[in-house]
Amino acid sequence: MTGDAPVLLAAREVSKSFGSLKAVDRVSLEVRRGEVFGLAGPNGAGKSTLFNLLTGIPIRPDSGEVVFDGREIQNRSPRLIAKAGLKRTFQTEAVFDSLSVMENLRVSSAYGGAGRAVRPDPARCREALDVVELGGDPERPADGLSLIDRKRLMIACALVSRPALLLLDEPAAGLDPADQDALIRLLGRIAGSGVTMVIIEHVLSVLEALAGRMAVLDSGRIIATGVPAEVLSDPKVVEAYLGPGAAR
Amino acid sequence: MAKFGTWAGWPAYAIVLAVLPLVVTDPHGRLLLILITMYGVLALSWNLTLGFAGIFNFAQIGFFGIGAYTTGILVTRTGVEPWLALPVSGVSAVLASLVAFLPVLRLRGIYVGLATYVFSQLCIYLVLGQAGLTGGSNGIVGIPRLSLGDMSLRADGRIGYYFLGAALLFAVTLLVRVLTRSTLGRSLLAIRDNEALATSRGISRVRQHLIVFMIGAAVAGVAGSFNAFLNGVVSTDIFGFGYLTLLLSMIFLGGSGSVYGPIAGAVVVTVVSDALQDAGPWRDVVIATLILVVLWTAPKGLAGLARSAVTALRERRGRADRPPSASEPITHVKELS
Repeated sequence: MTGDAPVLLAAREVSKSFGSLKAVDRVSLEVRRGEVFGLAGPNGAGKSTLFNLLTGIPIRPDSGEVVFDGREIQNRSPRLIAKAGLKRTFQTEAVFDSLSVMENLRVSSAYGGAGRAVRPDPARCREALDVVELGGDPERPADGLSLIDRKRLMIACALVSRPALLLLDEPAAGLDPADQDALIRLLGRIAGSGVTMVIIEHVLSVLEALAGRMAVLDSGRIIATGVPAEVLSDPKVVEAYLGPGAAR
Repeated sequence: MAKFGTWAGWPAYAIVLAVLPLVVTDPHGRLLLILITMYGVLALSWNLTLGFAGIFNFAQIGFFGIGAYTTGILVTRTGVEPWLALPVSGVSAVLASLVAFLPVLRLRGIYVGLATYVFSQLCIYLVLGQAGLTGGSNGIVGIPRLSLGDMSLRADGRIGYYFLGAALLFAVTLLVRVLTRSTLGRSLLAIRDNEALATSRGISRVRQHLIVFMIGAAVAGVAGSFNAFLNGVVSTDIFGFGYLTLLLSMIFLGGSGSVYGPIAGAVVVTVVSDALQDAGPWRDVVIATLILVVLWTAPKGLAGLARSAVTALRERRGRADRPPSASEPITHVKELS
């Protein structure tokens, strides 16, 4: 069980300020190998900033440390963090628009591994496409893909170099309920294959369906941690989402 | 294995380059052809950084000039075998590119443009400051012509220079084609599209940009050397705004980020520029208007226009070959016999 699994990612007292605004305030969390960890919170709570601090894109913590697979990474370059096996997706469904679907996977496969650039592995590229169920001509341009297919491709590119940890920034944003269900099934399959995941999500049903544990951020601080059912009924969480007095 | 269709055009390209001087036999026409090959090489090299990598690199003219001055100094001051000056000029431009690349380490966008333009302008001061070596404002004159055995490349309407230029153009086109289709080339497009995403996929912007910067500089240095041998003189004009605007016109008119566009741009701009030789300042006005019209109607330049035309033709052919579906209206009825 993941409760006994070793810690893969740990943030310890991580803080980041922009001027007088404390975007992330002494946040600590631990993600165990093999688990799906959810991160929720109202707009402006500091979720994406925390993701950026964990991956070094494009900012670094003012204080605190980030330990990944037993090594401190808060001072490493974003590229080296990625090469260490911590891959992420972005809030906007970012793919390389000038490239074809398969070329997106090829560059991710060639450069995403731990060492120097290698020849892209065609079998892994096809496998990643199969995992995310992105059909059609793999040589078609990526800029013509639908929203859900762009998300599928973005996840496939993150997966193709077999990361130890996958950070997903609001993967369900902009999707209709049917596509959200498809995404939950897809992420469930990826989690089932043993990939550790941290998911930021506004669509709480996604976290309820997938996350074993979750944390809620508000004004840069963690206000609740635990299993989703308990966390989402926590009065502090209800108040953070719905305003003072809503929990009564 | 590469598909046959992918490479089928290359023998045709080589044949066209080989046959052109047999069709264009007058000396002026030959000179235009030579200039087209040289500008084509330079535009292709610049397009690697400007078009494919998306770096606002204005140091390319500096590399071109450094190549020309390296050749001028080597063959007039040291007596180096002239043919050896061609590759050595490429190497000296690569070394200079390491300096010009420094601003690219930290800066982005237009700031890179400013810093690299300053690099090209600093080359002028360097040349003027080392007058003993470079001839200062007089430039270097008396650069010997290239020859193969007893045959000067200048003989028979400079046909030797044409074939040297054509060989360079063919080789550089092939280099650009292979490079841009390689994983390195694709990673450059990835960085241009979304740097943060590319970094998060493990791609090093600095490393990839440095590689393409050096390759572009090497080619520009060789083109500069070719220019020095062709003209027999080198002066600080080579770093000037004239070359810069001419080359930019070729790249944008042809289509930046396209493999073949800059060659089309080199052909059009060289021919139009020559045809308007007597028009004085109106020449620049006409070329600028031409570029504006092309970019307004086809933002991807002549290469984009050609691509759209081919796609439209294919679609029309596809429609003609396909039997009408139930949802398509039948617009003609075959005569029944």
